[in-house]
Amino acid sequence: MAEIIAVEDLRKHFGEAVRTEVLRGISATFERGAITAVIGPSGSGKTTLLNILSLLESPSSGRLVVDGRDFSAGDINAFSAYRNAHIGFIFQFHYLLPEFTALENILIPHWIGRGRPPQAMIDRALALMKEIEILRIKDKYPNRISGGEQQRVAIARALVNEPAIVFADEPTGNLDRETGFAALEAMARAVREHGTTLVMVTHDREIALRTDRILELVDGRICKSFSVVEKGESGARELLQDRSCLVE
Amino acid sequence: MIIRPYEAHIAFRFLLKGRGQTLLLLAGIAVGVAVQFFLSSLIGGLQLSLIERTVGSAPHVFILPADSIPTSVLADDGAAVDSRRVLYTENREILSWKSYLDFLKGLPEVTSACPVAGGQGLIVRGGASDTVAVKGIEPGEGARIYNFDRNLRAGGPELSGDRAIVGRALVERFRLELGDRFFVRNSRGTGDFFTVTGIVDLGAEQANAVVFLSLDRARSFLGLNGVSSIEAKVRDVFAAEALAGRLRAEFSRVKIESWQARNQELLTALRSQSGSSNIIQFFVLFAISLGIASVLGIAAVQKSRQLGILKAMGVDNRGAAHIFLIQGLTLGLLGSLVGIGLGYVLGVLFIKYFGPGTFGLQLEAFNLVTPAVLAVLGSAAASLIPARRAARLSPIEVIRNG
Repeated sequence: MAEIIAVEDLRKHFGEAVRTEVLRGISATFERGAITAVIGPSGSGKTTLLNILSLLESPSSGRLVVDGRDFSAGDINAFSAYRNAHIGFIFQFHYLLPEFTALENILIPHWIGRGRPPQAMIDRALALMKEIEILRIKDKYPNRISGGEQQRVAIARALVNEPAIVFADEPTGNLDRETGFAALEAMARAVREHGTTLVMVTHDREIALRTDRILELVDGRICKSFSVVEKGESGARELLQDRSCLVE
Repeated sequence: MIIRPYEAHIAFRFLLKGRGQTLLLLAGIAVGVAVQFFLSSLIGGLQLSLIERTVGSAPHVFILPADSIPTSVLADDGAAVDSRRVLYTENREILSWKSYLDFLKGLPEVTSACPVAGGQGLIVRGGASDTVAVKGIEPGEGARIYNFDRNLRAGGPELSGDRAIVGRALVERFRLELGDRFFVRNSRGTGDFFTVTGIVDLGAEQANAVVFLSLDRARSFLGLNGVSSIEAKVRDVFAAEALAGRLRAEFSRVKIESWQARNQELLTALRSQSGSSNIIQFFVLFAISLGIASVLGIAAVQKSRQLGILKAMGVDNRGAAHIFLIQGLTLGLLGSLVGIGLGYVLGVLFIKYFGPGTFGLQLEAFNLVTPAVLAVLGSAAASLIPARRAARLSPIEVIRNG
């Protein structure tokens, strides 16, 4: 499988007077169609990495290529149209628009990129809702549905424009374990079905073990990077137990 | 400003879902526009009616004899000083009046022009006497200037021989009726009898102490060889002073006055009234704009999370700003429409209960469109503040901070 995202010596720091290095030279590639989990302790820079990969934040230095296009430098605002067409987002706090129903929320990315959705698009959104089992709440407003349902709406919204990549930041962090797992299953199923690349930040090792590949960040550097498929579940679990990066 | 479909889609939904807020803003704008519309119509109507009363049945431009000519204090032989002499020659008539009249009648803006032989007389009847203005006019043109067709209360407008059209004040004071004969003494001590063939009401008390005669009859009564003035009415009353100015440049041997020059106090009062009404309207608009700016400003803060995620999903800075500009413009447009309706109803009710017979509202397109346009512009300007805020908002800021 070809790579869809490639980063080379990616660095990010915040502040000038008091300089905080968040990413200290990350080099990695992400395969097209794969599900990658980015794990690491709090403050390891995983969310910052995700924000940079998803073109929401500019790196301080280094190279970033997404789907063959170089995004190493440039204005975040200028990437709006690209994000809309090629990238889907799922955030921890769902961020649905309370003024719109579930179905309307799912169609917002289409509105932004291509205007009023035609019937075919609405049908697609409805099919997506059926796929992840939220069809019956399609006309409900976000404040009338459960957290798990909200997250599934956010998942459908991320997928509706058929993006090449979906970025998810702690997608289940705000849900109880059972609901979280169910939402995750739904997301993984939908992503695999549409051949979408998924990059997901999580602090939950059990969730990470269900992905194709794990990237562990510690203190702004890559500590481990391995394929769960190649190592097998027990091998992967063993690798995760290893704390050598932390000791160092 | 090119509006993309999603901008309007989201803006309208924000307005619709923030119903309470939207209704409050709409009410604010509507009341503001209604007050402005009502105020300007009311003041416009009042001013029109005042002007109509002042000059509606009166001439607008006067050609008068030049001011009195000073004469030498020396006696004719050049030596002795005659202390009893009048020091100036009173210049009370225009002899070559026909050329002025023809000139005036040739101007397109002049609707009627009439030579007038005017002077003072003393009306004597029974034991009572009073000074009156005697005005000799040409029947047709004079009738148009003094609106006889509207102001004549009895009798007819014809003037010839001893026929006289008498002002209402005199009729009441001297108990005159149509067909009555009355005596008027002139300044030279002689006098004549005239017959009341018409009764006219020119509005003001002073203007009604008048006796209209035919031009020739008045000239012989007053001992004039020429006429004492030429009076004209113009199409646009406010163009009278401009016309007077042009006439002044044309003719140097006569004095030219406009109704504006004769009614300076009235015009000053009208101007200050317009000025104060404009100031009130400005502050009404200003207050509305501040209200919109603060409410939409708060909305922009409240909706930071939504805006952040919208921006992540591909709304650019321009789109985020447009969402708020569209809200401001929509509020301005809708509020103005409601406000105009409200103002109209207010005006109609006002006329019905307070103003019948006094004056009308000046329901002009200008009074209607100006507050509406200003309100829309004000709303748009007010929404620039939240729009800028929305444009500057960084999606990552919102996502990072929850």
